Amino acid sequence: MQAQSEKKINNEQDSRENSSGDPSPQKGSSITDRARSRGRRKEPPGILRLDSTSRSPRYNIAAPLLAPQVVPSSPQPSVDRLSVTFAITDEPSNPASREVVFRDQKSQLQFIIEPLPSLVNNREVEMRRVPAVADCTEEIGEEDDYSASASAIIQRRASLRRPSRRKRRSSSPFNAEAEGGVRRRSSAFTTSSGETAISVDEGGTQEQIFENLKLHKEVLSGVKQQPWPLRRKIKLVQQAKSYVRRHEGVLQERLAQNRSTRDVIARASILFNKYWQYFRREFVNLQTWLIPWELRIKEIESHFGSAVASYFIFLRWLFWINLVIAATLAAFVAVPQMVTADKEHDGERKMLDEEIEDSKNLLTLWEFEGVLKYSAFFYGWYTNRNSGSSYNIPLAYFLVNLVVYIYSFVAILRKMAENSRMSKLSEKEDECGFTWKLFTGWDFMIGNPETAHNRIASIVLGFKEALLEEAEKQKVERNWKTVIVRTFVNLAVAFLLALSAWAVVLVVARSEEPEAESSWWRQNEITVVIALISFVFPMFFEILGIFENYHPRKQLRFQLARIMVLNLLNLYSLIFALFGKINSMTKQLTALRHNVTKTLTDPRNSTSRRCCRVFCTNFTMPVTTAASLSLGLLTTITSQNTTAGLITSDGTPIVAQALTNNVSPLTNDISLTVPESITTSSTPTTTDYYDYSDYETNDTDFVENDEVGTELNSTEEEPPVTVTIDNNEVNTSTSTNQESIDEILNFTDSSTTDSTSATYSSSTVDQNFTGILVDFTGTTTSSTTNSLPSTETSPVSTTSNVIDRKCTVDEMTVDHLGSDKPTHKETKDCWYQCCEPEKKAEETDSPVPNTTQMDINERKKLRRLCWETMFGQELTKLTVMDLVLTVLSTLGMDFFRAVFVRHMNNIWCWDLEKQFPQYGDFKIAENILHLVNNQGMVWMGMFFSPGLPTLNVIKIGILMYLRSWAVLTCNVPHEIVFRASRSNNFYLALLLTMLFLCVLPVGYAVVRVEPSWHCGPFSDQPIMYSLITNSLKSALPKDFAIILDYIASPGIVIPLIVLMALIIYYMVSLTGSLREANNDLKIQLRQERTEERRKMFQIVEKRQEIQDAPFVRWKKILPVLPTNKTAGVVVIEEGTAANVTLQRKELRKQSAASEAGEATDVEQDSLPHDPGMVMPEVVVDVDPNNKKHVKQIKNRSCSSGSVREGDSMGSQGSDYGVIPKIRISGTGSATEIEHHSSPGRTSVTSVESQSRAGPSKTSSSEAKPEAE
Amino acid sequence: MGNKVATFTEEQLEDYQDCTFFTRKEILRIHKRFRDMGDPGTVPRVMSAQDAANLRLPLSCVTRLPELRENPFMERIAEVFTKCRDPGWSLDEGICFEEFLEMMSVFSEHASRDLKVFYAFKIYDFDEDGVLGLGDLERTCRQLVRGALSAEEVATICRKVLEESDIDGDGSLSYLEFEHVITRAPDFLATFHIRI
Repeated sequence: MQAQSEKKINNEQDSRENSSGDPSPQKGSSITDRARSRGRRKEPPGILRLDSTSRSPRYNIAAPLLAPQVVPSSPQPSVDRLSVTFAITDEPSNPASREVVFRDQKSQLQFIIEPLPSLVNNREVEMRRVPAVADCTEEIGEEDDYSASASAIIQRRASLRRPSRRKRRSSSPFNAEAEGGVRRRSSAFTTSSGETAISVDEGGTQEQIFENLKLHKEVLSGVKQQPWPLRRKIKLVQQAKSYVRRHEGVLQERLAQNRSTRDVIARASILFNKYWQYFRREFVNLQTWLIPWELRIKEIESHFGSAVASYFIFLRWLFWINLVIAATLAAFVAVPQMVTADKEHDGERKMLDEEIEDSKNLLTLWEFEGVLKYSAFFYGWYTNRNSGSSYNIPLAYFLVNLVVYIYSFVAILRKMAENSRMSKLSEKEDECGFTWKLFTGWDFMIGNPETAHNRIASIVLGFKEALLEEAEKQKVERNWKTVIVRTFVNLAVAFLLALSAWAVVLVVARSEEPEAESSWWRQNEITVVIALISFVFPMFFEILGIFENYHPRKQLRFQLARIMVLNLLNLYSLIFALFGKINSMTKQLTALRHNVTKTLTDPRNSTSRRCCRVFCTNFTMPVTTAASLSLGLLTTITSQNTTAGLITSDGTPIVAQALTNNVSPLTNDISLTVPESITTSSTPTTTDYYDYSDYETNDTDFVENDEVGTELNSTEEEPPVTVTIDNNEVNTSTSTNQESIDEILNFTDSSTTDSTSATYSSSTVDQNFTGILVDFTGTTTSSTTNSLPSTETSPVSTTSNVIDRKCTVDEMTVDHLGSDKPTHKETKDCWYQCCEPEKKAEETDSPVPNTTQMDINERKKLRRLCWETMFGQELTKLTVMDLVLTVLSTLGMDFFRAVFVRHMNNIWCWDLEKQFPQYGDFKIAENILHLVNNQGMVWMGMFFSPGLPTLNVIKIGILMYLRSWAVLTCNVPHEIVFRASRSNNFYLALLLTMLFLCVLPVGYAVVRVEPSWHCGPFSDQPIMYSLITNSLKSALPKDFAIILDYIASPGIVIPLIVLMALIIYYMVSLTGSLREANNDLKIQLRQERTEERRKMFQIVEKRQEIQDAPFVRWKKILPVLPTNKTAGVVVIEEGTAANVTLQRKELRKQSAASEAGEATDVEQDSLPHDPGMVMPEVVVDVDPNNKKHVKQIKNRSCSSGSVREGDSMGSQGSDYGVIPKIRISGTGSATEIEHHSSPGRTSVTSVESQSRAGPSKTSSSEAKPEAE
Repeated sequence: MGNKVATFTEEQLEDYQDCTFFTRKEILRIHKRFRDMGDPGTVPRVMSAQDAANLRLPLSCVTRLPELRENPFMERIAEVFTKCRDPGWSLDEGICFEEFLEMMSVFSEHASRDLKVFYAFKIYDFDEDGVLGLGDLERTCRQLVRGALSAEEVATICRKVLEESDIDGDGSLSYLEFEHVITRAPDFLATFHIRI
C-alpha cells in the first residue's frame, strides 16, 4: 500500500513537472501560444493580458459563474485553479467583481482543498479555458460551466481509457491519468481548439466539427462517472445533446450537398452511429430486463446481505453457462440428428417393439431407459452415418462437445479475471484489517433488522477479535488435548473418506452382478449411495469440525476442503469403478459380436458349406476384407472357386470394387507359395481372416472366439448369398486344419477355377494354385493400394501345414498355426502399414454388423452393453437423485423444522428457537460446493449424454426457486460471515478445478477406450478420437498430414511441454522478484515517511527562528514590484491540491505560530529525493487599492537567494526548478506569464496568510515578476 | 419497450439514462420506490422535470426505504446526497427525486469504484472538513457498532485505523489515503452497494 501511495506521489510529481517543469515544450508555451494565436486570429482578449479595453464585458459575468462551478469537482485530480486565474485576468477593470472573484476563489480553494487532495492538471484547465473564450458569443456562463465539466469528463475518460485498453488493472485512476494524460492531452488540445474555430465561424471544417461532435459524445458517455448532482449533469447532457443535434444537422446538410464519396460515407456513418447508439441503449435495456431473478436476488440481498446473495448470483451465472452449453449442444448435435434420423439404418439405436410397451413407464423413465435412452439425450442414439454429405453428425458431435468444454474453461477464466480486476488483490488479508472493518464492514444492502443485528454483532465480534489479537499477538497454546482431538478428527475424516470410496466401488461392482436388475433398489444403488454420501458425510464433517475447536473461519475452511475432497473422491471412485465396468462390458461386447457372427452364419451353413467345402479343398483362403463388400467377395471367391468342382451356382454378382482379398491358397502338394495380402476391415475391431479351409469344421469350431473381432456383414448386393459373412474369423485348430488339408488334397486336382477371374477384375485368383502367386499378390496390391501383401513363397510341408492367420486391429495378434512364422512377422508389418488409410477410405459406408437377426435376448443384452450410454445414464441419474435429495432435505431440514420450531415453541419445554433445533441456517459454503459438485457431474456426463446440460438447466432453475424460497421463509443467516467478494473467485477457482478434473476422465475415454460397436456416433472407430484424425487426414492434402503427424509426435510435443514448463518457471520467478520489489518499495516508503516527518520538524524550528524576518524580506522584495500596477493577476499555477491540503494542515497545526505576515515554508512534498517534483505556486494578488496586500511574487531562482529562499533552501537544498516569471505590464494592458523552469524541482511553498479575514488572502510563492 | 404510463417524458428518461447507471426500467422502478417512500399522494405519478428537481420529501422519509432503514449511516447518506447540490438551488430540507436517483446510481452495481470511493469518503467525513479526522473515525465506529464497544475500544480501533492507513502521519485520512486503503479492501465493492 505504501508502494502504491508512493507511486501516486511520484505521478503527482511527474505531472507537476510536466505541467510546470518546462514551460517551453508543453504547457506554458501552449498557453501563451494559444493566447497569442487567438489574439492573432480574431483579436480576442488575451487571456493573460490585462487588456481591459478589448475584452468583452461578458467575462465579468463569466468569472463569478466560473468559480462555483469548479467547486464540486470530480474525485479526479481536477483542481483547476487556472480557471480562476483566467477569470480574474479577464476582469481587471472591475474591482468589485474582482473582489468577489477573489472571495470565490478563496472559498473555492478551500473547497478544493477539502475534498480533493489530488493532482492538479492544469492542462485540463487550459482546455477548459479555451472553449470558454471561444464560445463567448454564446451564453457564457453556461458554456463555461459546460466546458469545464466537459473537460473534466474528458479528463476522466482519458484516464480511464488507457487502463481499459491495456487490460490492465490500474492501481489507481490517478496514476493512469498522470501518465496517460500527457499523451492524450495533445488531442484534447486540438479538439478544444477546433471547437474554438467552429464557434468563431460557423464554417469550420468538417474535421473540426467531427472532432467536436466526438468530444461532445465523449462528454455524453462520460458524464455518469462524475460525482456531481444530477441536475448539473442533466444540464450538461442537454447542452451536449443540443450541440450534437445542431451540428450534426449542419454537418448532414453540408454533407448532403457534397457528393464526394467521403462525405457520403461520413454521412452514413453519422446516421449509422445515431441508430447504433439508440439500438445499443435499447439492447442494454433489454438485457437488464432479461436478467432473471433479479428482484428475487435483490430481496435476498436485502435480507441476508451480500454473502448469501453471492450464492444466488453464482447460481444464476451457472445457469447462464449451462444454458449456453445446452443450447449449443441442442442446436448443433441433437436437432440435426433428429432431423436426419434414419430409421432404416439405426440398428441398435432404436427401440425394439417389445421395449416400446413399457418405455414410458415412470420407472423406466426414472431409470432413463426406454424413450429417453433412445432419444437425443444419450450418446447411444446418435448415428455413425454421415447423413448426407453436408452435415457429418459424428464429427459435429465431437467438435461441438469440444467447443463446449473449451467454452466452459474460457467462461470461468474470464469471470475470474473480471472479478480480480474489480477488486485489487491484497497480498495479505489483514494488512489493513481495522480500516477495512471500519469502512467496509457494513453491508449497505442489508435491509432486514435481524440481519442487520447479525451483521453488527459480527462486526463487533470481528473488532473484538482483532483487538484481542493485537493485545496478545502470539499466544499459541499448545494444548495436548486439542492436539489429540484434532488428530482423532482427522483420522476419522480420513476413515470416512476411505469408506465412501469403498462404498462407491462396491456398489458399482455389485451393479455388474447378474441380479443387478432384480429390484428397484438394486437398479438405483449407485445413485442413491453416492447421493447419500455426498449428503450425509458433510454433516459428519461438520460435527467433527466442532470438536476440533478451531477458529470459526478456519473451521469453515477445513470443512470446505474436506467436502471438496469428498466430492472429488466420490466422483473419481465412481469413474474408476465405471471404467472397470466398461472394461468388462467391452469384453462382453466382443463376445457378443462373435456370437452374432455365429448365429448369423448358422442359417447359411447349408449353402456356404458346400462352397466351403469346395473351397477348402481347393485351398485355404484367408481373406481379409476391407469393407462390407469384402465378404461378398469372399463368398464369391469361394463359390466361384467351387463352381468348377462341386457347386452349381455362385455366379454371384460380386461387387467387384477392388477389395483386396487375400487368397492364400494352400495347395499343399502342389505349390508352396503363400501369398498373403492383408487388408483391413473397416470396422474398428477386426481384420479378419476367413479361413475357409474347413468350413465343415466351422460348425464345431467356430465357436471358439477368442479372437478379437468377428464381424458380420450383410451385403445386400448379393442376392444369391443370402447373408454374407463379411469377416469371419475362425480359429481353426490344427487338427481341423489337417482335416481340411486332407480335403484340400482331395480337391487339388479339380479345384482350379477360372470363374473368379471374372469377378475379380484385377485380383483374379490365379487358378494355378501351384502357380505364380506372386502375380496374384501383385494384383491385389494394385487393387487396393493399401494392402501390402507380404507374399512369400514358403515351402509348406504339404499336408500338415495350414496357414492360419489372424489379424486383430489392435494387437495384430497373428496366430500362426503353421509352419512358417516368418510370414507372420511380415504380415504384421504389412498390416500395420496399410490398414489405417484403408480404413479411413472405407469407413463411411461400412455398416455395423446387422444384428436384426439375432436372438431377441441376445439383442437385449447387447443393447444394455452400450457403455457410453450407461455412463451418461449413471451421471444423469446421479444428477436427478441429487436434486431429489436436495428438495427433500430442504423440505425436511429447513421447512418442516422451521414450522415445527415456530409452532411448537410455545408448548415445548425448552426454547426451540434458541436451543436445540433452532432454525436452519443457510450454509453458503456448503451450498456452493454442492453446486460445484453438481456442475462437475454435468461436465463429466456431458459428452456421453448431450441432454444432460439441458436437464441441468432445469435443475438449476428449480434450485434457484427452491433455495430462494427456503432462504426467505425458513432460514436464518449464517453467523460466520463468509466473505463475499473474495469468495467469488474462490468459488470460481473451485469450479475451475472441478472442470479440469472432470475433463480428465472424459478425455481418457475419448482417446483411449474403444467405443462400443453397435451404438453411438463413433461406433465404427477404433477409438473415438480417431474420427478426428481420420477426417483431418482426409480433409487435408497429404503434405499436411505429414506435418500434422509430425506435430503430434513427441518430437514437437515434448519440446512444447518443456517450453511451457520453462515459461511457467520464468513467470514464477518473475512473481517472486516483483514481490521482493514490492517489499523494498514498502520499506523505502516507510523510511521516507519518517524522513519527511523529521524534516517537517526541522522546518518548523527554522520557521520559528526567522519569525520576525519576513517583513524585512518583504521589504526587500517589494521594490521589485511595479508600483503602478493596477491589475491583479492571480495565477495559481501548477500546484497540487494535495499540496494545498497539506499546507492547510500545516497551517492548522501551526496556527499558533502563524501570525500576520508569517511566511510558512513548508516542504510539503514528501520524497525529497525525487527529482521529478516541481511545485511552484504562483499567486499574484494585485489589489490596486491596497498595495499592502499585494503579495508579490517572490523570485526564486537558484542564483538569487533571498533570505527566505535561504531558509527554504536550507531545508530543501536546491530542489526547485521552476522560476515562473510573471511579467505584468505596467500599463495594465497585459500580463503575461511565462514560466521558466529549470530542471529540478521546487517544493517550497510559502503560504502567506497575511490577514485571514481579508478579502484577498492569498498564498504567495515563487514567482518572478518582471515589470515590462 | 415503451412504458405505457408516461411517468417521464422520453426526453427525461433519456437524460436520466445518460446521467446515471440505470436503464429505463430501473429508473421507473426507482421512481416507484420514491413514491412509496413519500406519504401517499405526495409524489405525483407523472413527474415533470420541475417536480423531479424541486419536489422534496422530508429526510425522514428516506428511512422508509428498507435498505436504508437499518443502515447506521442513513442520515449521513441522505445528507451527503442532498447537500451537494449546486448553489443557487433551493436549500430546502429534504430529498428530491433527482437526488434520490443520483444516490441510487452511486450505489448501483455499475457505478465505478472511484465514484463509490468518492461518495464513501464524503459519507464518512462527518464534519466535512475534507479529511477523516479522529472525530470522524470515532463517529463512524460508534455508529457502526451501535454502542456495543466501549469508548476505550473505539478509541483503540481508531488509533489502529490511523496507524494502518495514515500514510503521511498527519493524524487524519486524506482522500488519497482513504482511496488508497479502501480500493484494496476486498469487500468494498460488494458491500457499498444497494440494489434496486
